[in-house]
Amino acid sequence: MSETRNFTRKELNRMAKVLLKAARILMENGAESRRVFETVREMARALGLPQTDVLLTHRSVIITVAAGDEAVTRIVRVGTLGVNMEKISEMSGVFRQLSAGEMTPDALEAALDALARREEPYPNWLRMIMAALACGGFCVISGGDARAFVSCALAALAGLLLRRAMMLAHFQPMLSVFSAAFLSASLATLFTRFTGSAAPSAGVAASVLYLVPGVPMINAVADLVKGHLMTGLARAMTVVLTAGFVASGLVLAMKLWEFNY
Amino acid sequence: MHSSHILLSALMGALAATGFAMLFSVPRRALAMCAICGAAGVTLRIVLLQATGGAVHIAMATFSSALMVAFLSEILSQRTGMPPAVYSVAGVIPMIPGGYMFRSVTYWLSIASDNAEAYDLVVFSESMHLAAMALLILAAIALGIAAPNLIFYRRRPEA
Repeated sequence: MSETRNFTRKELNRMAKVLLKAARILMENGAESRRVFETVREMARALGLPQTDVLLTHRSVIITVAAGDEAVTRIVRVGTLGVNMEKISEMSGVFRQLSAGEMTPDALEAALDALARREEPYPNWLRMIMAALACGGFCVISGGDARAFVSCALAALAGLLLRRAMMLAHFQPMLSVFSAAFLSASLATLFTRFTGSAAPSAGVAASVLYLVPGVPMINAVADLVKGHLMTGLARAMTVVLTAGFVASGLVLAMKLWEFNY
Repeated sequence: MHSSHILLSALMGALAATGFAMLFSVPRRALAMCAICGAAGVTLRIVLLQATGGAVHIAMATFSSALMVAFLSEILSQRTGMPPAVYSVAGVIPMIPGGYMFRSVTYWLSIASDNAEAYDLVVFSESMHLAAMALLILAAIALGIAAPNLIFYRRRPEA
C-alpha cells in the first residue's frame, strides 16, 4: 500500500488486532523475539501504518498503532508455548504475499486464522515413535551399544506417552516433565539391566533427552545476544526450570532402582 | 581413525535430527535436509576431534560444526524461502551434550547421597568439571547457530 493516509479509530483497532494475531502465532510456536518484532513491523509497514510500536514479554504482546491524532493500544495473551516450525515457515509466505501487495487486510486476517488452526504435519504416533528413536540415536552417539539403543528408545516412548497423557489431562507442565523423566529413567535403568547392556549409563542418560528444551535454549541465547534481555531471561529461566525437573526425575529413578554409573 | 564409528555416528545424528525435526513440526519437504544437517554436524565434530588427536577443545569443535550447520541452513533457506531455523535447530540437536549433562548431575547429587557429614571433594570437582564442559558446549551450539544472523543482517536496526 501507499503513503500515509488517514486511518479511522476503527481501522486502527482492526489493524492492531490483526498484527497481534501474527505476533501470537509466532510466539506460541517457538520464534525468537527478533523474528516477531521484524514480522510485525514489516507487516505494519505493508499495511500502510505510519507508526507501530511493539512490546514483547514472555507471555504477552502489546502493540500501539498510531496515525495522525488517533492511537490504539491492544494487548494479547500468549498461550501455551510449543514448537511448530511449519507455522513459522508459513508465516514468511503470508508476509511475502502481503508485501507483494497481493493481500487486503481482510485476506491477511483470514490467512492468519487459517494458519493458527492449521493441523500438525505428522500424526502424533509417528512423532512419538520418531522422537523415541531419536533418543536411541543420541544414546549411540554418546557411546551406547545396540541393547542400550533399544532400551533407551522404549523407555523414551513410554515417557513421551505419559507426558502427552498428562498434558491432555491439563496437569502442570513441570509436573508432566518430572513424571515423564522419572518413568523414562526408571524403565531405561530396568531395561538396560535386563538386557545386560555394556553401556547402561548412555542408555539412561539419553532416555530423557526428548524433554530437553532445545528450542527455548537456542532462542534464549539468540534473544540475549540480540539485546532482547527480558524475553531472553524468561526463556533461559524456563530452560533452567525444565532441566531441573528432568534432572530430579532422573536422579530419583536412579536412587530408587540403585543404578550404578 | 575409525571410519565405521564415524559412519554410525552420522547415521545416528541423522536419526536424532529427523526425530526432533518431527517433534518440532518441521515441514515435510524440509525433513531430508534436516537429517543431512544433523549428520553433517555430528560428523564434522568427530572428524575435528579425531583428526587433531583431541587437541581441539570439544566446545570449539562443536562451535565450528554448529557454524557449518547454520551456514548450510542459510543457503537452504535462500533456496526454499523457509526460515533458516527450520533446518538449523533440528540440525544442531544431535550435538547436545547429553552425556556430560547426565554425569554432571548424578555426580553432583551423589555428594549428598547419604546422611554423612563428610563429602567426597573429588566427586564434587568432577561434577563441576563436567558441568563446565556441558555449559561450554551448549553455549557453542547456541552461538554457532546465531552467528550468520549476527554477521549478515546488520543493516536493519533492532526493533
